[in-house]
Amino acid sequence: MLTCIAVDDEPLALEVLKKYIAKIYFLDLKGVFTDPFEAQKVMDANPVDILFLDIQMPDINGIEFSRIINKKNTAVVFTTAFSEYAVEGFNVDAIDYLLKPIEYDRFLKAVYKAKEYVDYLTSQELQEGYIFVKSDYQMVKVNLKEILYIEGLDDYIKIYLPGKAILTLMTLKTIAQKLPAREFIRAHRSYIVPISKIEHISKSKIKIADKEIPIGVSYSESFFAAMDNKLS
Amino acid sequence: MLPFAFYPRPNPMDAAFFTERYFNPYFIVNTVFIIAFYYCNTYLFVPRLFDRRNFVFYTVLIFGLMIIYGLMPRIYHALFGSINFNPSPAAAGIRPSGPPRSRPILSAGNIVLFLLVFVFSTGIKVINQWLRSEQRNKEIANEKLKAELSFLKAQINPHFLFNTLNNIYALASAQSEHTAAAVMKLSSIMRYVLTEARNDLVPLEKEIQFTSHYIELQKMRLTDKTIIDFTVQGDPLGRQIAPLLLLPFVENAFKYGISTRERSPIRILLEIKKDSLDFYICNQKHLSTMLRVSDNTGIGISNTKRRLDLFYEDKYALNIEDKSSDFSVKLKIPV
Repeated sequence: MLTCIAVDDEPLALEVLKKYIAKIYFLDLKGVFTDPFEAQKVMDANPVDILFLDIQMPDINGIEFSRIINKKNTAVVFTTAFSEYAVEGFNVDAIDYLLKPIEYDRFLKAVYKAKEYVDYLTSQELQEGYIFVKSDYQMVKVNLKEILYIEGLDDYIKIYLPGKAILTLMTLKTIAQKLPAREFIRAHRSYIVPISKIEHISKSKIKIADKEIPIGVSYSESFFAAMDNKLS
Repeated sequence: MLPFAFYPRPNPMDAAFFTERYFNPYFIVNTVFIIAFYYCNTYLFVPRLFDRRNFVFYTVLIFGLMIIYGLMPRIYHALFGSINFNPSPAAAGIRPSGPPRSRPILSAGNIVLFLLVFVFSTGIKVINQWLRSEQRNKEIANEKLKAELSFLKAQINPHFLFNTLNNIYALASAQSEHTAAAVMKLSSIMRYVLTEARNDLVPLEKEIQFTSHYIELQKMRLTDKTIIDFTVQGDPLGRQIAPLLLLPFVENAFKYGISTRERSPIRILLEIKKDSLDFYICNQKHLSTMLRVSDNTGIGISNTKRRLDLFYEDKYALNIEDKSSDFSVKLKIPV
């Protein structure tokens, strides 16, 4: 699932976006805002993957706003009724630029562009990303791409890597916040799994590196939703 | 130096003739007169009399001068005697040019010369002026066309137009019952701008209707933070106004007086009095908007001022109050 937010000073313009977003199964709309600063609050608390942003707004120009929020992991798609800003829009690394009224097909295209970007970012993050965890009185570097799965044991977690496991004092919830959310998914009360390492999935079990991990009943729905765009 | 062109050419070989003929006092007086006439006619008589349609006086003047010039040999003779009147016959052996006593009272040569100089100087001047005024007319027509174009461009703000279209699109895709009304309003304001606005004067009720449609379309776009109070008092029937005078002020209020964060009231009052229209508009200022829109503030308003000056000259009163918390405009025009 990709999370998204739409900002436009005109309520009716937001209605159109809402409708389009609802049609796309892998988009999860976290809210629509006529006030960009309300949107900013929400995004500061929970970053989103895609931001649909109007340019001409009374309190702040969308282009300036996108500079202010400056979220590297958010794909910004500008929407505007009048095209004089097109070039400037791309100067702030916009993913796409939609002219209102927006056709659904064109909107879909922009969403796929954004998705590609977000997927790319995730894989980048995974390839180059790492974290340090405290273990046996030292800080140990863990490359994210090596993580097979993480098991929670009350106050401790065990990070399984090929050939070894690192035990550290941390909760599953804490580590989940440090990991790329699109790759590392909670499958069970005691397990976080990286999607790319899954070998096969049955109705209630995941297999990673010869280990069978159960899918928790209460996590099943969100797990399969997150897997959704990987399932064919 | 034009007058010299009309003098008979002497035989260039004959230097003595040349000196005697062209350097005697009569010839000099005669020449100075015609040269003076040429310049006076070009720079004084034509602009002062001819151009101001004072044809009678001009004709009398020219005619009088012609007679005087025709009489020049006589006058000269009367004043200074005939001592140097004719070049000495010994000089060239040609016939003397000055009039002997048997000649007619008016010198035919002088009259012809005078007429030639007159036709030339007046002709050149008039043709010149005609060409110049032709060009000015062209320039004026050009300016007017340009003004009309920029006027049209300025009036239908593309941002407003496309956003309104987008809102109508939203209404239509939601199959809203308001769709048809919105399309009607938009088409009515476009028709007004494209057809009525070409006239110098339009019925006041049309301008008011246009303004109210514009406001309603703006309302459709905005959040409920914007509270618009639009009141018309009095009867506009039978009154006339220059088109699109009010729009720049209304546009301005919507441009600077709107916020999606704070309450944004806009008050518009139109009072039609016995022989005038009192227009009042007031919007609240918002810090964020003020900081942002410093770019093209008031271009529309300064254009309107120019139009007011052109059209109502000193018969209108415009009072703009730019206070820290709000911005208001009072306009009084005769209708």
